[in-house]
Amino acid sequence: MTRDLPQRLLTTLVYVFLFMPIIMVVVMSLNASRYSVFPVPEWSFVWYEKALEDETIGAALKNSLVIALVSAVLATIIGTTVSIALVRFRFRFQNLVRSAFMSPLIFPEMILAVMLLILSASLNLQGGFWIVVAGHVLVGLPFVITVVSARLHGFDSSLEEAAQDLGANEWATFRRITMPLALPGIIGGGLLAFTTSFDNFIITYLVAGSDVVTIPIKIYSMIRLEFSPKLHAFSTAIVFMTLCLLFLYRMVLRRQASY
Amino acid sequence: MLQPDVELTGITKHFGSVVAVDNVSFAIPRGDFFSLLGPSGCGKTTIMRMISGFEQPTRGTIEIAGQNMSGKKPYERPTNLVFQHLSLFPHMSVAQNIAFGLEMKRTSRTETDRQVARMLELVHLADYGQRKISQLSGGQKQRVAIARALVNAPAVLLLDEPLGALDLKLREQMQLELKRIQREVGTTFIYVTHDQKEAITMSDKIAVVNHGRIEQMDSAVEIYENPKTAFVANFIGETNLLEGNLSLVNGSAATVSLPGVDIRAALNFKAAKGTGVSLSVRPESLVMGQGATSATNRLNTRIEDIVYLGSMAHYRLVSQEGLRFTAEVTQKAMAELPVRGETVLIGWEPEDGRLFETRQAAA
Amino acid sequence: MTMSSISSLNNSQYIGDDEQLAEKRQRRQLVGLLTPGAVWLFAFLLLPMFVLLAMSFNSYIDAQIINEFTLENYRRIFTEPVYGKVVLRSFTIAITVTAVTLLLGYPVAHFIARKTSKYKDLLFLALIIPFWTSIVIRTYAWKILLGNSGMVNYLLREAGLIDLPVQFLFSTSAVVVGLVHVFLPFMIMPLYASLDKLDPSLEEAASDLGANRIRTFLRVTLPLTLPGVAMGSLLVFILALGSFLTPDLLGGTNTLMISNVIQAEFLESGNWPFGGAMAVSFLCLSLVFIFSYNRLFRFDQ
Repeated sequence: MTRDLPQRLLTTLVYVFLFMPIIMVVVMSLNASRYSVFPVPEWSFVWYEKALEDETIGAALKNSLVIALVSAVLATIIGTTVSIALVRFRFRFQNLVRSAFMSPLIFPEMILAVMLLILSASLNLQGGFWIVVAGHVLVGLPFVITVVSARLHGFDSSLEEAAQDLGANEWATFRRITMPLALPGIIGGGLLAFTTSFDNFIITYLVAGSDVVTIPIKIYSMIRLEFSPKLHAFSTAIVFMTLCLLFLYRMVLRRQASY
Repeated sequence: MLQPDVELTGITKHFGSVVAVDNVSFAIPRGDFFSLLGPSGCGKTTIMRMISGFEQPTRGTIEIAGQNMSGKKPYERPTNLVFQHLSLFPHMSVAQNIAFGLEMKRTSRTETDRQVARMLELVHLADYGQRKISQLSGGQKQRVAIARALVNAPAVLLLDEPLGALDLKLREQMQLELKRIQREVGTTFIYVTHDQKEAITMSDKIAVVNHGRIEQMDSAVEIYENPKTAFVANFIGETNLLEGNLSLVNGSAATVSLPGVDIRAALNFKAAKGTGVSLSVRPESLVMGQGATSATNRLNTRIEDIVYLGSMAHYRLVSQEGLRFTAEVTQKAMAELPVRGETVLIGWEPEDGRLFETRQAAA
Repeated sequence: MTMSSISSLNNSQYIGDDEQLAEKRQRRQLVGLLTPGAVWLFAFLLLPMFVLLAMSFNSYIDAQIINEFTLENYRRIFTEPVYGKVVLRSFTIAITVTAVTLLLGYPVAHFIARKTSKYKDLLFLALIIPFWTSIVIRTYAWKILLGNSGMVNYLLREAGLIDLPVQFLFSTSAVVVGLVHVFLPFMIMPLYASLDKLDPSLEEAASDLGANRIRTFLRVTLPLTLPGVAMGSLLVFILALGSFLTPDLLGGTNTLMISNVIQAEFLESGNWPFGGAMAVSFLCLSLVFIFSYNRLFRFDQ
């Protein structure tokens, strides 16, 4: 047991290191002082109330949710079709296609953002909703494809052959066999895409005009311009929401695809 | 004869430059239990997939119940397949699995329920309708797969090595079950397997497939007793296969010269003196010891090994010139025979030895 | 939809009519499936790349973007020393972050991988939570922690180690700390995957054959988990190299990294051509790096 001690200690320290900032935000959200001093002089929920009253926060939340929802739906549909093509078919350049869809993961995000900015300017879009969604879908696709492909790999194509043998045409096979079995993966991928969109900063920052403010943008501007402990309060709320999404994700993917 | 249920004419399948199936033709009478037998990679699975519609032939036609299947997709054919790994739908119950095909035909709810219940009875799983697939044992899953296919009353039921995953006792049980079901339902069964014992036990007719071609198609008895090629002789049951040349041809009798000995054998094809041939003698046809002294063909051999198999034994023998034999004797007969390392006389009659042209010997 | 092969008809082996029909059908299905994704990629990845490239050759005169071809932007990047400094600084920070996350992450990943499944699951879950939390929140939290009236300074003062608060923020170290925090999970996860797949009986066999812990690690564990190490390192390095938010919030004017400089050109200076040229150069740099890395380690994603 003592042999393990240095590793145990290190792991504990690392986990503390990883969680400390988040815990700090939560702690500070209950800090009545206006200047985020440590140690906490007085505990209070006042900043939560103030955050709830702030209309701009409400607007940012609404924007974020809508954008994330639309992006997630689009990313899921496109990602699922691509996954089916990659897993159930064999064709030339398959690896190239897969790499192409995965590439946004390894692209420095600033470059993606800049590219989309120039594109939207040359199309005379004044920033705005749809170009943000376009960018979010782009970065959400790799996640959807990874999760859905893994799911499709989990049950083999002979199930689909069996359905066809029993009289189901391509559409019926998809509806009754492929979809239900792939569904946990599809929903999981959708949740991931939702979260990546919700948390996205760089692309949104560059590309959204002044009228599309999302939560990360709002947080950033509050840090830079108008600092207020309201920030801690609603950040804590966001963290809490993220945790719920995470647990939802794990629950969805717990279901088995094969027997 | 009655119109055949399944008829393949000139079926050929190329995969790129590989010829998987080479000009195969056969007809299966209605209600037969028919086996496609052959080693791995011989093309039997490809033939089966072409009949069910998962592959399209490069050339040739397939007719099922008199209808040309050209271009027809699997869901348009009167065939059903019991998959090798069963492929039961994991997200559905036993009853839902069985009902699937009927649902696809838009059968009414009441009729579906009735048929499903009838099927469950047939496969002896009457109370298992609501169970989840994951709750079933291997043999039970097997029966659900059969029920799911049969409930659709296909003209032809194809089974793709369905018993491979089961242990020996269960496999033998299921073989009898399958025979029973087939007899009761009367559907034509096409059974794909590499296990020759299984094929011989269950089939009315067997087609032995090798390298994409049918070497022989006959009843089980015929295939065992009268193999037409060396491959069939070697693949079905065990045999001693020796290479030599014809030194004498006399109508339907011939003499084969082997190293150190000349053997008389039956000849049933036209051949000239000097032709290279394979001689096949079944282990059970060899007589050893006293009884061999009066045999037409006799040879002195040394006992290299004795393999004890319970009710009988296999003697591994080798002649002075290096010819190898396996002889089969009953446990009782063993008492009279010498032990390992000693010599013994073996013998057999000309009619026990079959001749094949050598180029067919490749297995 | 079965496992279908779209074979090349150039093969000039005889293909039957039915086969051709079936193949055409598969091809149609495949095209149908890939079209939405292909359209999206084309419109929002390929096209923008060309537009970016085009922009990088434009001129910027009197605060206007002129559609005149010029190599001025690239000349500036390669000749003006300040940009070389930024690249060097970014590389240094990225390498530091990669090294630190590797050194910290490997033992942690090893520790988790060796645990029984109950704890393993819990620990892994605990790892994912910071991973899923927004980077903006995590980064600004460091501002609070490292600030003059923040927790770190408070603890140091209470411990009597310092009298006056130390300026941690707006320095390279703050940026490194922030980046390590963000990217530790990115490093630990592929390492964990690699270590988890490793058969523990291999380590046991090594010690049975007389290797002590260090030798077992060097000769058995490390070589077999090298793919995980390579993957994690590449990921962290590239992502750290391109980071924007952390140097922006935690760093000062002397810790500007590549993405900060690019952003400044676009949003503050308005010199899109020059910003574009920087972006293109950065992209090429990243691609060259990734390709040579792949060659070196010879692995598929």
